[in-house]
Amino acid sequence: MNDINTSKELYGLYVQRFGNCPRTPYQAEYYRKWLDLLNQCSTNEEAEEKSKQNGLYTAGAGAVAMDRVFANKQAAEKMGWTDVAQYCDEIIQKIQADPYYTFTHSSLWADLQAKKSGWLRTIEGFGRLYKDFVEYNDTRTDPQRAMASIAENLKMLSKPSSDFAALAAMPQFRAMIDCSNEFYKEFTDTICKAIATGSLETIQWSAQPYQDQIEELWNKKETLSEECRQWYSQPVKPVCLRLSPDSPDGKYKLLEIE
Amino acid sequence: MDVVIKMMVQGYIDGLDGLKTNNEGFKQEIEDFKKELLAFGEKENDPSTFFTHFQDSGMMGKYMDLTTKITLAANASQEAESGEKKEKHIATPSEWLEPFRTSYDFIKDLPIRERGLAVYRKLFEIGDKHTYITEFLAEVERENLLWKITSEDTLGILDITLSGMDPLYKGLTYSTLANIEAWKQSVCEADAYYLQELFSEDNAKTPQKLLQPELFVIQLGLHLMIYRGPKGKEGLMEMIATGNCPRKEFLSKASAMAVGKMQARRTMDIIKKALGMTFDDIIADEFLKYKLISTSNVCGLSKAYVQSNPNILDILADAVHNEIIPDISLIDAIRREPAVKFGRWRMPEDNEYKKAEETARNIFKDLPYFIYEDQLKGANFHVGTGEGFDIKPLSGI
Repeated sequence: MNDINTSKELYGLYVQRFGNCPRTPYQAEYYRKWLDLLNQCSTNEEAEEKSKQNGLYTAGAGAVAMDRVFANKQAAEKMGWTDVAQYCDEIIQKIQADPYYTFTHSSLWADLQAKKSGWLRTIEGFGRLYKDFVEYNDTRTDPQRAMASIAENLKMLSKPSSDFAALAAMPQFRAMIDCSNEFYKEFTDTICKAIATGSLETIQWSAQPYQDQIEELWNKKETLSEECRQWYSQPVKPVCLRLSPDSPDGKYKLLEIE
Repeated sequence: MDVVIKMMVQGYIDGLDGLKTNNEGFKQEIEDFKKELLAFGEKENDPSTFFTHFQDSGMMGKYMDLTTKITLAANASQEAESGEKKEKHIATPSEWLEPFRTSYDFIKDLPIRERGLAVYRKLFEIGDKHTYITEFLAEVERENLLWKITSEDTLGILDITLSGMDPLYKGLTYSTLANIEAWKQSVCEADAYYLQELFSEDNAKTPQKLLQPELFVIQLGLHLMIYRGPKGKEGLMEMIATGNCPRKEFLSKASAMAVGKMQARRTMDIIKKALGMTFDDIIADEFLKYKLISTSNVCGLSKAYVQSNPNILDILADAVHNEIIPDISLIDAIRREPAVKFGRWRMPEDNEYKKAEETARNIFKDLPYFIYEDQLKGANFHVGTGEGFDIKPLSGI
């Protein structure tokens, strides 16, 4: 039956589980208070009545929400997202003051997400700028396109700074780019120069150095007829399906499609 | 206003109109918010981004806050009006389990989610054993079943997702593997939230980093294709073989071959400087080497790809080693063509992609990802109204 001893055992188990987890101090406290209350009462009904008077009866949802916010806070602190951690503290205080806060302010989760998105967007934007650089630097043929993309991606930078040079100098941003220090310097110098001047250098590619070879090829093409005809008489190779392996150590299998 | 956006805005307005309140203040708030909704809808012109903007702008939060506030107030006043105190009813285990039965019914037609389903069944089994709720809950807690329902089902789905991925594609698999690790390490929901949050920064950084070498290799592949493909050497050989050689077109292909070679050489120098890798290092990397060629995923989450021919990497490697790095003349490059060895190649056509897709799907049909995809398509989902609704493949992932 629903006797108080079973309730005590149940709440003892809750205290044990939430007390053992470093992420759940509010639920641990909530159940500890319940256990204390049960220990002072002789029936479940009596405990329930008393919980209504001392506010414990309605504090459960708040405890769950506070732990969730607290988990966010701990992660934010570890990542150095100070404003997010501070915002989490503010939410916890509001829930402590009003047990119905999570019901009347369900938007708090969206607000919390918005606070975090500035940091995540900066990381994404910084990575995109590197991609812009790699693609532009390869041939340096389309500086306008690269410049437009760089301008767009610079807008994503905000946390902890909107200044590209300041971010580029931070170890955590250097660590997210997989390249040599020499190439990283080229990347940061190029983007800084693009920001300062609004333009990028261009390479004009031309076959001019090969002009003599091209003319030779045109003039002697008949001498190549045999090789080319032999090649052209070959059947066209079938396209092929490449199947991924079962494990990260495996190799692809190729399968011709007839 | 866009017709789809109009429908979505109307849905929210209908929701507001359905709220019951006699409070004049609330009524005014509803009217004001309806106007705000309409103005928001007017500003939006892309249905695909409407919902994201609705959330990001805070409109969604405002909508939820308003509806919750009015519903709570209505419930409170209804209770006050009814006057008499209802006799207290303590839920039985069976009643308590009702929402879980609903969730179970929702996913029971997806037997591939056995990990989660098994925990539900265990929960129901314990429910059947007990008459009193506290005894039932104590046993559930001893087995930590409420946490396991979430964690086991989530881990099951993550494993299913992973089975549809190319395991060599670390930029793709990383986030799923990190998520699996977070759930495995967690002992309660707050713990999972913490670890997921902690991984969120890493998840934003690491996959990007893993994908960065690809950027260089893709560029190199483009230059090699220009040099060696139909726009360059292959095109010239075809013109010479067929005797159809208009000078302008011939010179254009010869120039493309020359510029392709110069650009490939420059890109290889950049790769050496940036990543310390040579062309041979790229070829030795089972995943990276295929970024040299244009391939399309045709199955699951990059489980199989179509490529132009089985020898294409050998053809490009041959060109790099014997023509581009030694920088032999254009005429010598064509003269040395090992015709019989490589043959002719071309880009795949649409029907070949379709055939490849069917073949790959058939080969991988027993993987959990595809079994789940089939079960989702075949499952008869019903919501509370009793009306069925369509789901997109893999909406559960």
